[in-house]
Order: sequence, then structure tokens, then C-alpha cells
Amino acid sequence: MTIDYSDNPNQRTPCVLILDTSGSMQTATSNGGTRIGALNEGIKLLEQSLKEDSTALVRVQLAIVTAGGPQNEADLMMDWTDATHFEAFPLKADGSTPLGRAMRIGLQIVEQAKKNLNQSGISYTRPWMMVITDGEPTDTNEEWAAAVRECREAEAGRKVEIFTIGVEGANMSKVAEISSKPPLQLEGMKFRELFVWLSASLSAASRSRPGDKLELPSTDPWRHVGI
Amino acid sequence: MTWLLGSASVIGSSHQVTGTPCQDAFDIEHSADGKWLAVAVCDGAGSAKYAEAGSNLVAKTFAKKLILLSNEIANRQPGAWINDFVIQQVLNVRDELRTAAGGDDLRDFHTTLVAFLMSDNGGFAIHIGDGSLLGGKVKVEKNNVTLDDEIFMSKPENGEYSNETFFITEGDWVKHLRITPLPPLDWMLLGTDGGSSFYLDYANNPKQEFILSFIEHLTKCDAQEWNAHIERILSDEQANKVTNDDKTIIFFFRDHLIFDKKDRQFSFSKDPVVLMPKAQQRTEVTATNQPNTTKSIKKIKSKKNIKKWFLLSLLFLVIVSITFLAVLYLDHDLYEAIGKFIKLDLKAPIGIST
Repeated sequence: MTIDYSDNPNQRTPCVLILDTSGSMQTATSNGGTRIGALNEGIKLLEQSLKEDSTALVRVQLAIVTAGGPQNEADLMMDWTDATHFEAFPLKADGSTPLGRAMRIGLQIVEQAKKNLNQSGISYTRPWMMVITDGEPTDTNEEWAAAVRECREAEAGRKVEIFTIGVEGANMSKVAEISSKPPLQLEGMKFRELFVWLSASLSAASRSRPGDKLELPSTDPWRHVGI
Repeated sequence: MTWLLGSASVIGSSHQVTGTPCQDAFDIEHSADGKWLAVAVCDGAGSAKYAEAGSNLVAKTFAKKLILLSNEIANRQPGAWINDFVIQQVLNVRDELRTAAGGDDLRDFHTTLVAFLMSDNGGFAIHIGDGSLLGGKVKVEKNNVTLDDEIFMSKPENGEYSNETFFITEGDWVKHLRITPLPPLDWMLLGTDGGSSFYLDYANNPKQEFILSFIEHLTKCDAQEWNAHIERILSDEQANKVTNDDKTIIFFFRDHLIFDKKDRQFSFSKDPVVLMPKAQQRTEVTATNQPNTTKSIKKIKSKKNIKKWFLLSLLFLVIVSITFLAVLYLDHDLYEAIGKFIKLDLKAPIGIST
């Protein structure tokens, strides 16, 4: 992959989205749509919000890896793209949930992003990886264990910041294995609120300067607080 | 030596919005004999509770302790003891921070440190974390002011991620302490992270155009107005596009280079090259008055070597020729044998006995 950085020497905040696009995401929602439809709407809103923010626009970089879909595989759907060039596209839900494989692709491209940025002399903040799933990974036990181990190691080595979000129906104990930070559960189908939060959080991260404490916006608008 | 200096600290737009105070601080000290100048600039971490107090305490205390070194240098040969002295002063400053913190945890006072001690014969920079120091020499001929293309610099040190840096208040501060010898310099710029973003680009290389116009602008007006000028540059509306952080810049210029002429032409001799002085491999001060750049040392060494070998081979040739001639002069048979060999009827020269 080659990206021409000469027109934008700003520091970057890379964020890779690991999205569950398995068959279960076709489940209908109470307002007549489907989960995958709500996810697609959320991604569209992410594009809008980032483009309304002049700093995030030139500093945030996105990549999308899907688990499932018509190919029934873990796929790099979108390689690193600056927010300014990002255009949301609809994802299709089908097949199983090779989430572990998708996470490993995520970790690989995170390291690739750092390499590319280093070579271009562009500085960057710690990359983010956000995992969103509504089900249970269908990787083999060995594959899943290896993926989780890699995630935990990358997190402990401060190589990447991992956020895990469970959508209704997700096996939260499996999701909890991915990161040392407890997973958050999406309230209903509040994908829109989730992606507005992500945009604001990435914006804050992309502005942060040495010594700053990164204050992320509240997750209350979309987080399910269960008993 | 006399320096003209201008300085300003301006609060960042992000701190204005949140109502936090400016967390940059600096202090300038002169030695009693006026031959030495010590400066310390500190950038308190936005995440630290008492960042403002931390940066103020470190800047004031460190500059005052650093200027004491000038007395020692006057009486002692430069050497590794200078390292020890600097490290001791950092330890003393950390002790004072402990007193202020009422304990061993200095996190609430996180601050970076960029400092230097300078005389007519050079000096050195002391650096932990981000912020930067750079300087160079100037030639003035008639109306032309030429900035030498060699720029000496103590670069910012960030972690892998651009929003991370290192603080004097951290347990492993000594790993990040850099002591860099500096040759005598005619101009210097010193800044916190926010201030540096005016004169360094995203890859931390000097912004040639800014530096040139900055020096030209300031040296063409009265030095008493420098503080106000720098403050104006840092507060400009455009400046908020450069950085939303607190910003401090301190500028030094040799007073003997200032003339009354307003029509001077400013330029760099060539595109500037940054020389990373040798002691960027931290804590290796051997002399305070040498232009200790790896580049120039290597150049001088290789030039010296070529000269040495040339002289040696010349001497060798002369000795061989003299010996050969002497042998010929003393040995007639050999003389004739050589004549036969090169097919010439050589007569023994006068003075050779047969």
C-alpha cells in the first residue's frame, strides 16, 4: 500500500474497525430495520461527523475489517484511508463470524500503518482498534485463543488501544477475553450514538499533545447499563 | 559577552477554552561576572494537577543552580565532572519538588526541561522531553547578514506516539537526560513544544523561512521591543492554527552583530543542515568549548590523516633516492652494471675511484 503523505503532514490517529457482518446481523430490529442496516447508518454518520471536524478530517485514518459477509471470511474491506477521503459504503451480512481472524488482520494492518507513517516521517498517536460483534466467534478454539493472546500482548505492549462493543445477543464473556478493558454493551440499536461518540473520541485523540490526559466523551448515550 | 534577548509565553487556545492557566515557564540567569548565561524553559503536562507549579519551580530552581556551574568551570578544566554536576542539580531540583509534593510521587508536577549554559567559548544544552533548542553562527559583511547553514540543535524527544513525551519528574528521567555540547553561537532559539511548532516542521526540521524572517524582523527593531514582538507573533490569530498548546519562545542574538542599518539583506549561506552534536548520546560532556559535531570531527580527522600519509611517503622517497645515489657514488662497478643494463655507455663520474 502506498499513500502520498506530501499533501498532509499532520500527525495521524489511525483507527481500525473490526465489524461482525455474520448472518445474525440480518436480525430485524424493533423499528423495522436490521442490525446490519443500523450499523451501516452508524458508519455513514461517522463519515459525516468526521468531515464536519476540521482537525479530525486531516488527522484521523480509518480501516475496516469484516468478519463474515457474503465471502464468509475475515476480509480487509477498506485499507487505511484518511478521513478526508473516507466514503461510507454499505456492508452486507451473511455467513459465520471468524472474528479472531479479523482481529489478527486488524493487528497486522495497525503495525503496517505505523511502518508507513514512520517511513513518511509523519508522527502518530496510539492506534485504536474497535471490535463490534453481536454473536459468538466461529474460529477454532486454537485460532480464537491465538487471536486473543495477540490482542492482549499488543495492548500490554501499548501497541494499540482496544475497545470492545457487544451488540444484543453477543457472548459477552467471549468479548471480554479480547481486552483488559471490560467490554461495553450497546443499548438497543444505538449505532448512530456509538459512531458519533467514536468520531468525537477520535477527534479528541487526534488533538492530544504530549502530557495531555485524553478525556473521552461519556459513553452514556449508547451504553447499556444492565443489572 | 553580551546577548540581546527577547522572550514570551502565551497561553494556548485549548487552555483558554478550559480556563486552565498557562503551564509553560522559563527563567534567565546571568553569572556575577556577566560572562555566562543560564536559561531554563519548562512545559508542564496538561494532565498533571499542579503542572503550572511544577514548571515554574523547575525553571526557576534549575536556572539558578545551573549558573553556579560557571564558577566551577572558571577554576577547572572541562571534563566528565560537568555531567555529574548537571545530574546533581537535577537531583537537587527533584528534591525540591518532593518537598513541594510532600512525598515521593511527583506525577502531579510533570514537566519537561530544556536549558542551556552559554559563554563566549561555547556551552551546552540540557534536555529532558520535548521542546527544543537550536542556534547557529552569523556573518555580517556590509549590508549582508548571512546565517551559517550549520544549525546546532537539541531535538524534542517524544515516545513512539506523538502525544507522549518524557518528564524530569519521572522515575527514569536519567534515561532521557541529554547533555549536548555547543560551540559559540551567535543566535539561539529556545522553545517549549508549542513554541517549537513555529520554527520546527512536523519532522522537527528547522523552518528556514520562519527563522530567517523572525531574526530579520527582530534584529531590525530595538531589542527592548523584542518581548512585545515575540508575544505578538505567538498571539497572532494564525498562530492558533499552528498549535492550540501553550507556547514559549526565547530568542538570543549577539549584540556586536547588531548595527544601525535598517536595509540589511538576510539569508542563509546554504540550505540549513542540522548537526546533531555528539553528546546526543546523552551524558557525554568532555569539553564545553568545542564544536563537537561528529560530522566536523570526522572531516578534520580524515583531512589530517591524508596530510600525514602524504608527508610520510614523501620523506620515504627522499631517503630512498639519497641512499641510491650514495651507493652509486661509492660503487663504480654497480654504476657501470646499471649502464650496461639500460644499454648506455656510462662513464664513471668524476670523483669515483676505480
